[in-house]
Amino acid sequence: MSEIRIGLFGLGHRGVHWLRLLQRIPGYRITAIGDMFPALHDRGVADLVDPKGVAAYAHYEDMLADPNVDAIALTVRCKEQGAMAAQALEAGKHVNAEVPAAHTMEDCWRIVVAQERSGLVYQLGEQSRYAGFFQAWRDLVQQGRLGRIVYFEGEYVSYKGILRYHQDWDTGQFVYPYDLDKHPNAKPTWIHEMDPIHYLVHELSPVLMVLDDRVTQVTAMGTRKQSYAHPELKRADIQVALMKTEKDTILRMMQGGTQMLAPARDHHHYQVLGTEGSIESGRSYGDRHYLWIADNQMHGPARVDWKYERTDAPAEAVDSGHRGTDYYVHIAFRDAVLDGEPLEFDVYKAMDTAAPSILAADSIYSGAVPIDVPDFRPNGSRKAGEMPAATA
Amino acid sequence: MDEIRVGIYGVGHRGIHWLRILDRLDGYRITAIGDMFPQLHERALGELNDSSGVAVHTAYEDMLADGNVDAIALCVRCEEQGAMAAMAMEAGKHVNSEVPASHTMEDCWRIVAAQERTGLVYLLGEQVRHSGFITAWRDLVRSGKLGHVGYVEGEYMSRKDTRRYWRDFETAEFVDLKDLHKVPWAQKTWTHDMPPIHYLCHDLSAMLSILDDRVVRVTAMSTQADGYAHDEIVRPDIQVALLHTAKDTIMRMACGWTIGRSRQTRGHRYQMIASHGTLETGPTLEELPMMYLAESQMHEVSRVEWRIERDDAPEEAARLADIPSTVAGQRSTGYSEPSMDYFVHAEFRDAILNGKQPEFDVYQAMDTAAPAILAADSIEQGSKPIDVPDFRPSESRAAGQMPEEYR
Repeated sequence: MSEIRIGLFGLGHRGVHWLRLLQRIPGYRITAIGDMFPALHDRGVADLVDPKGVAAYAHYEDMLADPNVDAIALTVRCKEQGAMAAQALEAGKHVNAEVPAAHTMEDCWRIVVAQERSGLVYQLGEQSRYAGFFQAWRDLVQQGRLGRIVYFEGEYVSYKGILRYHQDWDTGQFVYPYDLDKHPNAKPTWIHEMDPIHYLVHELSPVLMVLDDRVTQVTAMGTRKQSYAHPELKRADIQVALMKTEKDTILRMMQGGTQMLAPARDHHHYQVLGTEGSIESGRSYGDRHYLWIADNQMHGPARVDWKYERTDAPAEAVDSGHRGTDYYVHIAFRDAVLDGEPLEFDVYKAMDTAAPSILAADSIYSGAVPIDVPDFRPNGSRKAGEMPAATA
Repeated sequence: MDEIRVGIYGVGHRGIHWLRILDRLDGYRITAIGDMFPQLHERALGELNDSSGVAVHTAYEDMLADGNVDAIALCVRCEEQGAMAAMAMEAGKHVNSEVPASHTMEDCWRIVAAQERTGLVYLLGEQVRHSGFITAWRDLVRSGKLGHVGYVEGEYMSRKDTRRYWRDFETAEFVDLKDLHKVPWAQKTWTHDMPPIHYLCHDLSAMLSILDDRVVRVTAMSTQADGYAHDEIVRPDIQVALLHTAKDTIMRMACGWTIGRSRQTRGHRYQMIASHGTLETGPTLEELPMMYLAESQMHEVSRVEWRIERDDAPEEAARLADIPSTVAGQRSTGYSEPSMDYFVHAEFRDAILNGKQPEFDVYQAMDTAAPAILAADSIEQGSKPIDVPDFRPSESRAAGQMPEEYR
């Protein structure tokens, strides 16, 4: 195979971004596009450099049955997105999936088992792990410069307005709550119904990469399931999880999207504390990071000009999205499919980002009860390709 | 009564700091000092402007029996400090107690029941709630400018020296880790044995005072019992709690003193994320706190020159300005600052002499102690969530009674 014939399902704003990107990266050929909202197909087609011969599907199953599709770029945002990734693997397609990986534990396992059985490439298209500053943090942590890491926090607390919480099923367009009376067929989106804490993927993915670790236990709390900032939204303003890792680091992870924050406040914030040093990202966009290393003659923290952008980015990465990090996601997937390169971010690590988030929500609804997080890797109690006993 | 005859028990570095304060404020007369280590008595007497007639007690019970003592200033740091506060009230003495209030739930209840039965004044001498920036944040939050506060962060994390973990009981001096081999008979201190999360008093006191709220449930996690930072210090490097309040705020509170943080990084850090704005201390000592109010025509976060210091401390507080910050070469003031220390001791004095109800009452004091104690219990039980009792009298507990399980 010299190029990947790709079918992209989900033509919302992320799908269109992926569509544009995949056409710029050698090794990909778009052979199909699709969305459950046919009204969005024209927008997808319009973004194709050469739409000739590109199939358009309203039904996902039809795309999976298309023999001109080798791999699915799955850019949906729905409760079933994990099951849809598994379905693609089960149908013999490689999968590059937008985040989060899944919203149920059963779907996590189904993806793992389908990947193990098929040997196909499954990648979770999480890009933060490729950010320049995380590469630098990982090097420092793994060299032991910060000593033993005892605490790491990450958060995605943002305010992006209230447009994304309802969608008109006739047009596929998002609808403001105050315009709902003009859109009788508008329904709450998955973003509206999803527990915020399910979206920890951009926190857990880079943090676990920096630590080379996985979460073993989670407990969580959240505010009521109705926003205080926008009471018309049936969604918690903020949910917070504590997690314990295999290597005995405590993680504090947090998600919120409805509280009114300053525009320049960086949605993401990270802090790592070791016994011999610490690093913290700036609070606002453009703020430099804080670095302090105990045995380095530093009297106070240094402000370091680390950014999402990488200093070693090739020209084609620079404007690929998410400050140049989207490029690396698609290069890793391409090289895995075409050249058999092992994925650094494999299916097990992908589920290591999804399961603690799903179980954090479960913990909230059970009154902060701690929940053990399974290891998805094959072991004495589960062979590769088999569902675990509890879900079989 | 026109002055409070006070006995200071515990004359370590915090006790000396309190002694210097009480010796300068109107309404107090120090009539007794005491410490279980007699070696410390002379130093304490030497700090007094006039030590004539001041009784010296080694045994706490002797101070409690002293008829010339109206109130106890309790400046000990031990597992029994809650019980000692309760004992003082049971002996008919008012109590102003250094933090934390207590290290067991039973002692929390004992303090509450003793205060209710006696009607004496119990004050937890927590000072951060009186600091300038906390006072300003309290005004902002209570004005409703920030809307509903969904998330609060508080912490006490730093890289403290290794001096406080052992003590030579012969000299009463602390023994630094590096000198431990010279004093093999040194014993571990309560600071060594205490779960770090027990010391949430400053953070809970300040944040709950802003929110006018109390914690109803807590869960917590810890790194391993043996610290990673120092093989000899058998103490977790960090403990972190999640707490849920009655008004539906989630709090993340953390304690750790063997953390790799610069001394230029703030030890106590706070953040509030609300439905209509945010408040946050600067990460480093030189950075100003940050404020964003969504509905106040603010385009971005503002840096505000709020400080620990109060700008409205009365003239009397100026008498504390010359208090040295060290005792025997070691810092004694901790996170204190004279203009906020003043409010602690003025509040206690005014409660006793003028019958003015303390703003920080015994129930609010236990609201800072119980979640911390139960956070440690949660850790012991694998992060099991634990409900935090309300210490106020209710149908199931009349004022002055211990709750059923402790009767």
